[in-house]
Amino acid sequence: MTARSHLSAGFLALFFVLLVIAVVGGFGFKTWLPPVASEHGAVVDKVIRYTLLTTGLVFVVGHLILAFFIVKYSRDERGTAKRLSPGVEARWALSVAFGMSIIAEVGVLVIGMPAWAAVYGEPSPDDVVVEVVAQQFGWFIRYPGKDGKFGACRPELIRRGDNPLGLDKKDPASADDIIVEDELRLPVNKPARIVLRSLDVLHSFSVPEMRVKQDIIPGYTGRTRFVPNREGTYEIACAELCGLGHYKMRGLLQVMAPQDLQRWLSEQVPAITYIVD
Amino acid sequence: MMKIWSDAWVQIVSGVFVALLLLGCSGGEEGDSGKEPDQETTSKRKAWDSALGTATVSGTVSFHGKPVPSRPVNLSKDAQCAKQHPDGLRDNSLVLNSDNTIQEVFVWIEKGLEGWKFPVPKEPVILSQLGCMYSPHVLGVMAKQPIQIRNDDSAVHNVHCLAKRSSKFNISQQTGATDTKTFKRPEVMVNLICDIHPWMSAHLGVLSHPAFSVTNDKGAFRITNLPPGKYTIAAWQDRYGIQKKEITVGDGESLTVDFTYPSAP
Repeated sequence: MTARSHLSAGFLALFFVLLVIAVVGGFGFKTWLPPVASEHGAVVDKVIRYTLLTTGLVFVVGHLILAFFIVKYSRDERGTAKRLSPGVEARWALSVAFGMSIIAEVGVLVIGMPAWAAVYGEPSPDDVVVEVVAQQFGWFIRYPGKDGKFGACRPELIRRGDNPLGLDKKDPASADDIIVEDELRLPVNKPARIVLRSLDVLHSFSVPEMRVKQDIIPGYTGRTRFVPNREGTYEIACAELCGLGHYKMRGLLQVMAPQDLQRWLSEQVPAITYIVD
Repeated sequence: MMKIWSDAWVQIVSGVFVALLLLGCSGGEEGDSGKEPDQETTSKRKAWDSALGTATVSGTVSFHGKPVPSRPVNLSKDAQCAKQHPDGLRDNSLVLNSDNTIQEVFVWIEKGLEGWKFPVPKEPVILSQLGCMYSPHVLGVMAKQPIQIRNDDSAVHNVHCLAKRSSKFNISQQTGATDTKTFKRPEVMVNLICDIHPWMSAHLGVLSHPAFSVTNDKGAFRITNLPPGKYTIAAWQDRYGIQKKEITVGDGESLTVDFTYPSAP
């Protein structure tokens, strides 16, 4: 064997070692994701797994073909190999690209559509509606109270001390609104619709266990929806670098029995109690 | 193409463009007030004669009625802050004394001293961040007088100045950090906040004269060394805003003026 073929064999061996590491690591990824705690979460994991598998296969097969051609034609120093016509080359390239798109996009759509429909589909009247308002660097959580309606919020009424969301005291719907900071409580096994607003810059509402991550855009009311199906405490993180204190923008999601949530809500003081006229 | 780029006119045009850009940037930083002349600095003013300052205005600021309870502050996001307030913390926008007088009301002479040019003290006013609070919460300072902002806390803070008539700033301060700032123009009030701890807020009354006072733990204020004359005296309270009164003081007179919040509807 020549020194050159030794080098080729060495590269090939390295490729396979890396391949083994990637496959073992990749398929062991189940432990890398936090355990799912929402109904649609399993579908999200399926999409992640499918994407990893298909793109991984394309990567491996593509590189094997590339390696084959490199080895095969590496000794052809005079360039005598027969070249394909541009038309044939284009057909080959396009059919591979088209095939890859079908595998990746259609597969993800077919698997992921049920989760998309669950998160962004038509809201149901049974949804537990909670508003999450992001501000540098924290989360205000607003419950609509017994009337099920959120009171109007007006930017000109915002005061850091007593009225951080600018709640309009004159709106009858404001009377029983409850506002807390950084602690979101939701009932287990009930669909939660989260209304998302930002008071300043871009933020992103992310709860990894719920497989929920939704950007929040100032001036726009966004929403996300999920059904938490495991009681427990989960971290809400801001997933959009939003400024100096981004690292401190951490909240907690507590998923609890519905009667516990009702008891807790009944103990809370309505937000208008603290608002100065 | 190369020839065109080497031409002198290209350099001139790009130079003008950069200059305009810089001008635009600096204009933005100063805010709208950068364009309008400051009445107090442009008018002809006499140097202050301390021998004339013989009158005193003092009084008390009290609260009438039952105040709206203060919103509790959620300290859970910073263990360092929570440790310093084991009994919790509430919004400090209204600090009442046991006799229903109000602390931390800024009282100042709003009109009547425009004709004088007062010397600006060189010694700085100190604003400390301690216990995840601004201390003091309300203070007065003269325009161009240095203000020393210190972080005496174990937590990291940022000082975000929301001035409208002077330059804004936003500085991060580690434990033990000190920064000295000045405000170019008078403004009542300049709000300083900490974006990391949203309950932290300080209010600065920036004036072109030293005739101001902040009410103490008896709700009392005292403005001394006033020349005799007619004045508008004003009081600012964090929750309830500004009240004004017209007063006249004679040579060597001590006048008592009281304020009551909330003002009658």
